[in-house]
Amino acid sequence: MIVVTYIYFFICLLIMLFTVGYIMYQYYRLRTFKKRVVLFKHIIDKQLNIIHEHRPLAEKHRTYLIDRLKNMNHLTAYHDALVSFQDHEDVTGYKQAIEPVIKQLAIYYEKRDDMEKAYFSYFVASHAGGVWQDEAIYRTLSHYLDEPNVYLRENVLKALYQQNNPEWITKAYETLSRQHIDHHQKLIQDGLMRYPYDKQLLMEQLFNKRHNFSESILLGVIGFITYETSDYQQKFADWLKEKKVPLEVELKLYRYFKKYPTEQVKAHLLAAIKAPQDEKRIVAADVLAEYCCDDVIQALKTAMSDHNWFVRRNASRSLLKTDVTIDDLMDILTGHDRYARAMLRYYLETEGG
Amino acid sequence: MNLIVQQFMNGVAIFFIGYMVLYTTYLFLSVLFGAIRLYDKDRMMRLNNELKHDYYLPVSVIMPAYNEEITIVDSVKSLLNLDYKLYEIIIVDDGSADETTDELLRAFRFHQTDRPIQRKLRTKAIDAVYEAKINGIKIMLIRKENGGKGDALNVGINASRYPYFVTLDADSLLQKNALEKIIQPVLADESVIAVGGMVRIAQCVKMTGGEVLDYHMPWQPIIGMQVVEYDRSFLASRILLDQFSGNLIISGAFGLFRKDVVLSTGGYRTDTIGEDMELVMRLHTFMLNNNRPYKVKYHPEAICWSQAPGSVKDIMRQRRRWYLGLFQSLISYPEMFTRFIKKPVGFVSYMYHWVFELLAPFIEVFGIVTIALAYFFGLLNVPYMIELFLIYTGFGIILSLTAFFQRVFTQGLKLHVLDIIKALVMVTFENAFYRYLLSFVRVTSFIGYSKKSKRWGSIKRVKQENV
Repeated sequence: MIVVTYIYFFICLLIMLFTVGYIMYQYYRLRTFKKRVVLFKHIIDKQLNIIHEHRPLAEKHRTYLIDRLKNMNHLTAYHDALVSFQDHEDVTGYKQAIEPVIKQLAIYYEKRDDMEKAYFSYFVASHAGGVWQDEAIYRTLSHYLDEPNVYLRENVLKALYQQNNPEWITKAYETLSRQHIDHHQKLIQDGLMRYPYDKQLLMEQLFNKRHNFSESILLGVIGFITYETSDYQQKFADWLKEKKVPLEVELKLYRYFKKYPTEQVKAHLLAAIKAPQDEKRIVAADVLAEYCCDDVIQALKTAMSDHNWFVRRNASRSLLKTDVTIDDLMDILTGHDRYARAMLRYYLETEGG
Repeated sequence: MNLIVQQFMNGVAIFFIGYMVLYTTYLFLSVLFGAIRLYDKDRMMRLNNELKHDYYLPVSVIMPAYNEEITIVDSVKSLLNLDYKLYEIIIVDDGSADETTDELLRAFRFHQTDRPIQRKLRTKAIDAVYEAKINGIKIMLIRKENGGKGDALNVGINASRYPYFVTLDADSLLQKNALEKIIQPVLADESVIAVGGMVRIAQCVKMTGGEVLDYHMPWQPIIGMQVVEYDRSFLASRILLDQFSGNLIISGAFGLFRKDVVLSTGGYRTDTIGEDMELVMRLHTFMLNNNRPYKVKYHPEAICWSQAPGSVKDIMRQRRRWYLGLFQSLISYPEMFTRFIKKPVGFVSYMYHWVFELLAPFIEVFGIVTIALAYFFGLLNVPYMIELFLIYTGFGIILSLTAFFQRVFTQGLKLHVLDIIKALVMVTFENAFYRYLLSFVRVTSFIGYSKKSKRWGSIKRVKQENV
């Protein structure tokens, strides 16, 4: 027993010394990092002057970068240095000139571990915008998506959003879907919204390939389109008519029709508010706020007595947003359903009628 | 007679050797994994392997309160300064006898409403609902009949609007980025149903606007010893169990849960003392029973500062509650041992909590009795015993110090030389005396134990500096 404890004692002592040493190493590393950033800034500045004088970038500089940036410590420092020149008038020219370097580095990092691949992708995502458009870079980055961890796939996607060919984005989504990898819909949506080029073209490509995407990606894509445009009313209305639409996707489409109401789907929503699935009734009761006339008001009034609390809540809020008459409201306020009465009274107080 | 005693002592020695080898191995592994994760996480941060977004998922922050008039306003103010864009705050006053509600009504512009609250979980009656909107953040204050912490949390869940909720003690202060950090495991993996944050001791820090201004190890031994104790359990041990989603405890002081799963399991139990542990155990068994893939994560970068008891009396009361809560939770889920023994959460986590947490104080007492017996029969090897005690205490000190430095690094805290000296003193005291005090508290916990007790734990609160 004592021997085991002695062994553990000494190993733990080593771990403690490692921890203390690591903390001290942080200070050293930070100092070295700052020095490297200054050095890279100096080097980049020199090259920017060359670009400014319309001279070609020194081949020596490219070779130097390829050699140095294979090391993570140098790549992180170079990134910081490059960021500090982001408002410089010649930085775009400089970045264009080093595109072959990035192409080579992309191939080099393909063989590195996920964390380094993720950082390289982050580096490309941070600097590629409007400059690095060589397909070879993105083809290589797409290869990174073979069983990637969440950080790697997020950073690769961020990099892909910075090039102007939507095909690479759809291909990446197809790759993830094929591997049954769920990337959170929120991350998909936020990422797509950052796409700086022709969003219409991107949406079209995504919509056409929708049957190849997993559910989380579909939800992100619909969220993105909902945020961007009302042009998809017809296409989404047709989509709703398809036979096998997953429930979550259907609900997301309903929400699109809350933001961009169209008479085309009113009948569908009126049917949904009576559907057996709670989720459908809840969302339909919310969406119908943007639709008008008697049939909607009657459906919402009926929904006020639904057994589901959320249906009642949404119906009462929606009802107050429609052209409901005082008589209709009085029907509920003087009716037998005390839950409906309480709910309506609260929303009348807080949101008005 | 002597032969019988000798054989008995041999058996006891074999038992204790096995027990201590297992325990030291566990502690050793926990610190080892802590170190590996520390290195890994540091590298991840440096290499931007992080899900950083402007907007995350909406979250409901539920803060149950009972007699918290001293700290409640500061706690709510600290919640208004978070680096998070979409969240609501729900404070549930569980029928406080002091001025908890009045303090809040004085500090913030609440107005009383008749807001309908869905009663998916059965709770005690609600007396009044107040609402306010500050800096765009919706705050709801619910005053209800006294029903215990679990009941107050259930009311908060009923009133919450968002799919994820965070529980927070009324004396807790969240660091500015705490919500952003605690939601990240959910974004990374949708099968995550609960995330535990790291709870630190608030008496060590000065905070402004959710940021740590200054950190010092306190001189008060009772607090200092808890600091190093928390480091070992909140950092090292939980990181180890996190490797296989095996944490059985998410502290009520700071944890995030997926609401639909919690509702499916029936919410918090109101007839237990350790409602936080009980819920996590129920989530594990519920998901395992239903064969649903799930993860319970621990995220030490999500930090909450909570007040620790400042007197021996308070700490004894708190630990008694924790111990009884542990007992109630463990005996409620025997299927962890029977049906799920092949799962790491059953084999490692559940067994660990039984053997090294619940039974440990009794085993220690048994050890002391056998030492006395061995001495009486002249079978005690005193030099060996002293050597074992010293090396074991030394091992504990090294472990605690390692966890202390790991935590300091994780949180990016700046240490002074005096803090390191204090830490050294505290870990020595903690390993040489404090742990034996806690063992005594645990052994005597069952005296006056009432199964139905659902009183709130109460410790003396002090106003936090510079919130």
